[in-house]
Amino acid sequence: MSIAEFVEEFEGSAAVVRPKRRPRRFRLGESLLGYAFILPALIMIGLWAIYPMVENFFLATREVPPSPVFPSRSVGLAQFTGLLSSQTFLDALKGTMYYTVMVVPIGGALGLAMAVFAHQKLKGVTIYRLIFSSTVATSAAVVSVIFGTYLNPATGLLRWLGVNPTPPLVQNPTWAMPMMALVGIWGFMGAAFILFSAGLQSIPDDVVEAARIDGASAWTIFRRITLPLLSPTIFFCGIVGTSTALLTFQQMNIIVTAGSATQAKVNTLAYMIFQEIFYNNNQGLAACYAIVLFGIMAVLGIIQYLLFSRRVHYGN
Amino acid sequence: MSTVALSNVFKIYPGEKGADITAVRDFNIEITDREFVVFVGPSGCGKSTTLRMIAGLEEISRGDISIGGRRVNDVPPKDRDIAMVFQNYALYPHMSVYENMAFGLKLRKFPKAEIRKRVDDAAGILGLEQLLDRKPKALSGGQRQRVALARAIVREPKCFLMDEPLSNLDATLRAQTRADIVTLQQQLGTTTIYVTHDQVEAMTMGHRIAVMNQGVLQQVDTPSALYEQPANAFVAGFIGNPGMNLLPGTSKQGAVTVGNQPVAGAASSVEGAVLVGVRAEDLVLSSTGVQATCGAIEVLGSEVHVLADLDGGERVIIRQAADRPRPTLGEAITLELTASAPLLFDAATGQRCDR
Repeated sequence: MSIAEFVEEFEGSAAVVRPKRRPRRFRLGESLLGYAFILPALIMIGLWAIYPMVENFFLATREVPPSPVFPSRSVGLAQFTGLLSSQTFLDALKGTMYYTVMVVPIGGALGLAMAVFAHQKLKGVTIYRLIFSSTVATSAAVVSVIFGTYLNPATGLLRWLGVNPTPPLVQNPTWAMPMMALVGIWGFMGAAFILFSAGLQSIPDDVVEAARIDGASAWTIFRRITLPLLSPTIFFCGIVGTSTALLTFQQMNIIVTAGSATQAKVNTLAYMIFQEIFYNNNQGLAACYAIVLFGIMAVLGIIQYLLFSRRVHYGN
Repeated sequence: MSTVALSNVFKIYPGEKGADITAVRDFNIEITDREFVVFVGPSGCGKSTTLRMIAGLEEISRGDISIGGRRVNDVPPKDRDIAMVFQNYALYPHMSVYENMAFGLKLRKFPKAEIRKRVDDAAGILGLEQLLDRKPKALSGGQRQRVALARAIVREPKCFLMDEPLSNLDATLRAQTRADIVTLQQQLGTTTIYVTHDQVEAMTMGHRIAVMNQGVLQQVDTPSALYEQPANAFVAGFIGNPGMNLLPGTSKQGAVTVGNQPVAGAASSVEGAVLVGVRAEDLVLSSTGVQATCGAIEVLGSEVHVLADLDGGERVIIRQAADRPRPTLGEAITLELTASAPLLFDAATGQRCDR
């Protein structure tokens, strides 16, 4: 996710506080004008979001042969029910969950820790800010190549350090997925750092000073003042982080050798969509996975909203 | 309750290329127990910095600060036993009014019953009983300010430090809260240091006022003494509403003239350029005296301020009753000094030089 996308979504989150709507009379001319204003946006959303979604659902109900020469046929919901007995799917589901549970809390916590560190008035802190946020500006592909190089058993960092695990970490079924999560954590902590830095800036100095005079230690201030006041950022970071993590497959695709035994160990739902479309030419099944992934994202989003919305304090 | 003493206190911020900025220079004051002292001065004069040094929020570059006889230079804010009221209230936005007031007590491990009692007492004093469950967001500006005050008094500290606590309130509420704070301080008898840029607040609230300018303490005295006997031209011009008029004059062998007119009752200890300090009520429009032009007229109801421009460009204010005849704009007028003994200031140093 690019910085621009983050900023856009971050600003969007401010819309959570909505003014109460007053009932008013319906005026035809006025509402037509209103629709005219949102028409360009409606067309865009319709063409690139609503229409593909509907089309995707129909695609998911069809069995598509690997070659376009043969016609596809309708199978109803059979592909969905088939997933429940598919070990590959269940493994990918587990992998997706494992990856998300590792990356979002750990990456978020590291980002917060770096933001707290860089928030202090220290000499040269701008350089740290630049370094910390640089992971955001690096594309997933580049990050994957960098980590792939580090983890390479022949030329990598570990060999240089004198550690040479056999089999190599990315070929080890136990360690391959944690390594993927490491790449994810590295990428997400920069994004979290930027978000938490902005959040920390919005906490007024005098509130912290008041707490100091009230007798709070640095740790108490962090726990009782900083964290509660950062809750809107934590909430937002959790939502964005989760949806990004659920869609990850880049490092799996780049670092792990395709077709190898470890590839099955680093499978995620997003990776399966990719594989079904580009390797297996099975668009129907890919569409089916896409809908499942969408469902998971929606459910997790709603759960997070319900869990956090009552605990989030929006300041003045 | 306690004394507060500052001796030779400096605050120096390191500037670029060794050009340090001295925000507070050689500040000395002894504040006695139960006293209400106001630090006043224009913005950037160092009054807030001084207060924050007393609170422990700013380090002291040089000198000593003691509270209750104990040197506190290296004591962290929480152990100085002071309470501070901030300009923007600084309430904890995620806590209720009750929690805001109880936070400091909880951290100091007070028993629950004692916390309840103290918070209820403070809420009673400040009329916050009905608001204890509310969040700061749901309070008006005046209510927030009262919560900030209540949070300060529950701890029963040695000293209250207030940093422009009224500047975010509207005029009516400000006048009312001003009186409330004075009453509260009398009731509690807690030593209070109050920072403001508003000389009316200073005059009406403080037992003593410390006037500051450009990091230097100009004069510490009671409101009436500052008004009647300002130590220098800055204090004269700053204290009072309007401040004292300072007319450029010349002293020759002790006798003072303004615009070639002799000033009766003035005897200078220095020769040369002086400033003649006259309150607005001690200037009247007359047929003889100093030449000026009417620059503006301010009607305040019971009285009128005539703003007159002297020949040298200086503007002076004449206060007269509303029923007196008023000059028209641009009209040439003549001012007579009616003060029996006008104050004199050395034009070069600003110091008093009347004998």
